[in-house]
Parts: sequence; structure tokens; C-alpha cells
Amino acid sequence: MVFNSFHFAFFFVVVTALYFALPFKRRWFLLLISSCYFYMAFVPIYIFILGFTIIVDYFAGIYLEKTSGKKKKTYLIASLIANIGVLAVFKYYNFFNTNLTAALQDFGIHNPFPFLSILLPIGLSFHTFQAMSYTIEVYRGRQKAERNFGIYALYVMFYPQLVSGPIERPQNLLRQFYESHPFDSARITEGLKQMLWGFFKKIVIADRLGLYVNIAYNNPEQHTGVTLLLATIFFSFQIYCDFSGYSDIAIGAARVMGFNLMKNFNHPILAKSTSEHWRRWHISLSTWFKDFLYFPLGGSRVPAYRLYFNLFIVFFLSGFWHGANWTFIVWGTLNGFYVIFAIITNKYRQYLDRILGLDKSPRMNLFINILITFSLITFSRVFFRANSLTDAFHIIGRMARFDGPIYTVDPSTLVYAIFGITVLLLVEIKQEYFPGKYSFRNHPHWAVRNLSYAFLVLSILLFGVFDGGQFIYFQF
Amino acid sequence: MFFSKLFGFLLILIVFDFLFGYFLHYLYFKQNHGRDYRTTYSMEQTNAEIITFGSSRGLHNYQSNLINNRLQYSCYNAGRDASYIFYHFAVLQSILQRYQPKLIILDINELDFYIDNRSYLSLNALLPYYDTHPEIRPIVELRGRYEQLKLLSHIYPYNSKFFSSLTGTLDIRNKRFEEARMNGFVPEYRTFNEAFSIGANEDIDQTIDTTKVQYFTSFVNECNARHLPLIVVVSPTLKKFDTERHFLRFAKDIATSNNAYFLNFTADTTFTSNKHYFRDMIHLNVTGSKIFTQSIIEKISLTRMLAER
Repeated sequence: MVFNSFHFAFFFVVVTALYFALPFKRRWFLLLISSCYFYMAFVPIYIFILGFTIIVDYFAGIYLEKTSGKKKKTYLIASLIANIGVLAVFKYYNFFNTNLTAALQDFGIHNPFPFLSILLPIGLSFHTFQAMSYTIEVYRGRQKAERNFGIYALYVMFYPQLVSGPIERPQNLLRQFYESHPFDSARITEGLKQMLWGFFKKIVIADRLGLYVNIAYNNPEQHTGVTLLLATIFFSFQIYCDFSGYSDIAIGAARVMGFNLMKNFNHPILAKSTSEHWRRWHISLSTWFKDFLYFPLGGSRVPAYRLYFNLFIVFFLSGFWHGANWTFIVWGTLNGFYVIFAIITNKYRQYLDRILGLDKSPRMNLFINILITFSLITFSRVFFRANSLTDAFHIIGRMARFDGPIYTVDPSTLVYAIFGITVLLLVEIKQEYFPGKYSFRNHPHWAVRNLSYAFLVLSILLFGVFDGGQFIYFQF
Repeated sequence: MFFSKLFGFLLILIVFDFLFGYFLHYLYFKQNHGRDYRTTYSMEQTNAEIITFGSSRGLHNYQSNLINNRLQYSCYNAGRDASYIFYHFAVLQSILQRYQPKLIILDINELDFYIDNRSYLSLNALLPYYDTHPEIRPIVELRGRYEQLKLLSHIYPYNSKFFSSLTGTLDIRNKRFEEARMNGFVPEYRTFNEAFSIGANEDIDQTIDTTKVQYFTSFVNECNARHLPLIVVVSPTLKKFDTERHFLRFAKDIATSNNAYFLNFTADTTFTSNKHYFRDMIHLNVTGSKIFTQSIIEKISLTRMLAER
């Protein structure tokens, strides 16, 4: 069940209405049943995989709290193996097997391991990481083990964030299932407004841009360098609007019911450096890697060479988390390289700013930094979007030639795309640099507020791409 | 308080939906050229004796004026880019509500038979006609389960059509006159470019879509029931396909068992491997379409489907 569907609209209205109708002690049960239904709407049988990891981690949490020393570590390792094992089988087995086949072929050896024809359970990477954060935090003593199996299951399966995050922490989410969350019209309005903005980003901007991007990236050998460059820039906006749109809908839907999920995006388009980009983009994942991988490796309190190695590992694995394909690994590693390079060259870049006089022109400096960061991140997304490394290098080669006319079979696609991007940038710049000012959605006059909501709804009806399909991050 | 505010907002929404919808309806039907205008013309105005149907191959391959001049029967090209058998059947139904042509030519391709989601999404082209053409409603509703619900909105039928409606009402570069002259045919002046050429879908999924087969059969049956001569044509392609396309056998069987003629040009050596006649692997350019149309005219003359004039 995708968010941008009537099925979800009916589901959301019914579940929310029942939620407020029920006494607070029964609500967790309704949410759990609803979340099961939500998940089973994709591929019903995969609920058993989710069930398996929930059972393992529920008992692991209890035993982790009761034990200490070597036994405690054993329970943690068992839990992590169970979670990572499921991920490895469903997501990475065929990838490793393909590479093993290719490697053995070079030596004339036949690969005896069969390929598996299995579908990747939706949201597997997300709820696996969310479950792992629970067991790790219990192990560290920062979270009490949840004794109520239903509440724990709901923590993993809570439908707004089940399939594409935000990847929550037990300290934030678990306690909220014990809070009463009365009907609050102001909070519900805020939640609905956030959902509406998320739908606008997904249906009007992301799916519209996707029409152009798919034409170019699915047949790159048939398009000019200029077309591929435009498609790559469009893809940067597409993936931002698709993913942050999903997050807004998830966070908004949770907020309607009184739950506060963590913020997942903080205007990453306006980042002034690649490090800052990663502090603003997919915050729940980057903080997960920071807390559970980067810091245990030593973080930044290590010699320089070790710092660079830690960053490389984090970005390599982050790329790998996104998908079982060399393109994602290259994408992740390239971003790691950006961050490492920025650290190494920090002093020289500051020196360059002084020479060019940019330190005396903060606005120009800001603009240039944002432009450079956006360009670097967009370039890396060639690998993220391309169907293969061969395609990616072909696209880069063509873009470098900057040849040929722009593909414009349907000029209206470009017009609507530019409209959507313009609205997005205006909103992002306003929220970043003028918070609390020039707001239509929060204007004191009810007519201005309602007209702005109506503008978004009517824009969705007029410019939206319906049947645009799943959210991009569902595949992870 | 919350519900009264929500009610107030919904009221504003309904009013604006109605007002904008009315404006968009006016703008859409005020167009005097462009693909949407041609759809309106096909469904509501044409009274040509020969009608050609088809997707982009239909639109760019059949020169209506040539057919008109040689056979002395008026001809209109009702083809439309990225349209499929559902669209063709809908337009045929609308035409037959008003009058009966003397000959129908239906250009088909693999996507009129194989599973492809775009075929359903492209029914977007028929949304503005949903209210006024009850004969096409079952076809429009193929788009999705909730289509009737979406069509409660007055804006939704004009989804993604605002810009094209605007340009369709402006007579830029005398397009209105040029289009009217062509009687629906849209010539393709671009020449074949090896480097950038739409492929011939060699890896296409050949799973049959039974709903499409049903509508193709309905199209053929409708013509047969009305004793309306029908020619089903598969346009030439630059490259002969390596794999046998089983939609060809399907289409031929259905056509010929219902008194329709079936013409397959995919192996015609006049066209295969002759780049000068093509814009890309599957679309003829203006030179190729002239030769192709002449071939069609010869076949029509040979079969004596139409009385000589």
C-alpha cells in the first residue's frame, strides 16, 4: 500500500478515526493490527520474516537486560546475526553470488551455489536497522528492555515509518506508545499540513521529474549529453522530493495521532559542504551509522589516517545499505571521498577564499558553496540512478561532451518540472533563511492559510502525476 | 472546532475546484490546433469517409491528403502519439455515434497487445470527454479502480493539460492553418540519426494483455457488425525483428476471421534496411510515409473495398 493511493487514504482515515474513538489502553493493539495490514498489503507472506526478527529481538532484549559479561555479548551477537542474516539472504545473496560466478569463471570453475528467486521484503533495510538500534541500546544500558511483546512489535512495525523510515530510536518511540495523545485539533492540523506538503513534493515534483529522468536514464545511449545532464539535475530534485515527501507524509501521519517521529531532512539542497549535506540528508540513517558504527570505530578522536579510514568504512557501508549493486557502492564511496577530501583541504580552501575575497562577501560565498556542494552531490547521483556502472560511465562521458539538443518530446513536462522546482526552492529558502516570516501556511489570517492549502491540493490535481508508482526508497 | 474548520476548507476547495475546472474546460475546448484539438476533432467533428487510427506510427505514417487525392474519398488521420487500442476503440465509438465512415484503417503495434502499464495511463487523453461521451466511460475507467472518484473533481480531467491547452489556443507560427491543411496527419521531417534512435523494443515482454486483445476484438467486431470495411495494418520498421512476434498471428487471426484485411509490412524490403525512409527504427519520415501511403492506396484499390470515383 503506497502513501499516494486511495487505498492509503481510506486506510488512514479509518485507522485515525478508530484510534481516537478507542480508549488509550487499546490503541496500541489497533495500531499493531493496522500496521500488519499495511505491511501485508505489499506481499503478505513476508510478515513471517518480520515476525521472526521481532521474536528474536524481543527475547534478545529481555536476556540482554538480565545477563552480563560474555553471555550478554553472545545474545547481542546472536540478535545482530539474525537481523543481518535476514538482510544478507534477501538483499545481498544474489549480488555476492553473481560476483562469485564472475570471479570463478575467470578460472574456469563453475559456481555450485544456486541463485535465489526471491523478492526483497519491502522496507527490510529500514526495520532491520530500527530493530538493531533497540538491541544495541539495551546492551549499552541506555534503554530498558520492552516486556510487552505487542508494544515491541509495534515499535518495529509502526506503519507510518515501517517501509522507508525515519529509522527511529527506542528512546524516542517506545515511550510514546504509553502516552495518551488526546485529540488535539492544532496538532492534527499540523500533521495534515505536513502530509499535504509531502504529497505535493511526491506527486507534483518527484513523479513529474521522474518521467524525464526515466526516459534518459533507461536509454542513455540514445540521448545527448545536455539531456543527460538535465536528467541528472532533475534526478537530484526527484530523489529529494520523493524521499523527503515520503518522510513528511510519515511524520505528518504519526503526528496526527500524537506521535513525534524524528526529523529526517533539514533542507539538504542548501548545504554549504558535503559534510553538512550528510548532516541534513536522511538524518535518521546518518545518525544511525554515526552512533552504531562511526563512534565505536573511534569517531574523530583518532589519528588522521584512522579518521579517514573510519569515514571510508561508514560511507562504503552506507552505499551498500542502499542496494546490492556496484553503483551504490561507488556512490557511497565517492561521497566518502568528498568528505575526506574536504577535511584534508579545509585550510587550503579557506586560504583560497581569502585570496578571492570571498571571506568578505558572505552571500557570494554562501551561494558558491551551495552550488558546488549541489554539483558534487548531483554528480555522485549518476551512480545512484544509473542501471549499471557501464551506463554510469557512459552518462558521465556524454555529459562531459555537453553535446546535442535537449530532449523535449513533451515541452509541458519541462514546464511543470520547472514550476515544481521553483515552488520547492522558494519554500526551502524561506524556511531556511526566513523562518517565521512570509508564511502562507501559518499566516494569522484564516483565508490566506486556507488558500495556500487549496493551492497545494489544486496543484496536485492539475500538475500531479498520478500512478507515478512507488517511492524510490521502498526498494531499499 | 476542528471539524468546522475542516468543513470550511473543503467548501473553499470545492468552490475553487469548480471555478478552475470551468476555466480549464473552456481553455481545453477552445484549442484550435495540437494533439488534444485533434482528439476533439476526431471524436466530435470529423465526417471524413476514411479514418485512419494508430499511435505515433499511425499519426506519422498515413498521409490523409494523399489518400484523399488518389481515391477521391475524404480522409482524416485520427492517430495520436502514445495511444493504444483502448484509445482507438474509444474514438471509433464516438465517431460511430455520429455517422458511419466508408473505410477504417487501423495501424497496430506490439504495445496494442502486450502488457504495458503506459497503455492504461495514456487514457489520460480521454478524461476531458468523460462527462459528455458516455460511450467511452468503461474505457476511461480502465485507468484504475478509483477513476470515477477522481473524476468528481472538475480539475482532474485536465491534469497535465494546462500548458498544452494554453499553447493550443495561441496560433503560434500559423500552426492552426498548417494542421487543418494536413487533415490530422503530422509529417515527420527529421531524418534518421544512427546515434540517437528509438529502438525497436527487441527485448519487449511479450506477455499478452487479455484486456487489450478483448478491445482489439471489439474494434474488429464493431466494424464487421456494421459492414464497415476495415484494414488492419502493421507499419514497416527499419529492422526486421529477430524474434517472431506472436501478436502478429493473434491480430491476423482475429482480423481475417471477422472479414477485415490484414497487411503486415514488417518484412517489406521496400522499407527494411532503408534508412532514408525513417526518422528512427520504427517511425517513417515524410518521404517514407508518402511511399507507404501509396502502398496502402494500391492495396485498397486492388481489394475494391471502396467504389471507384
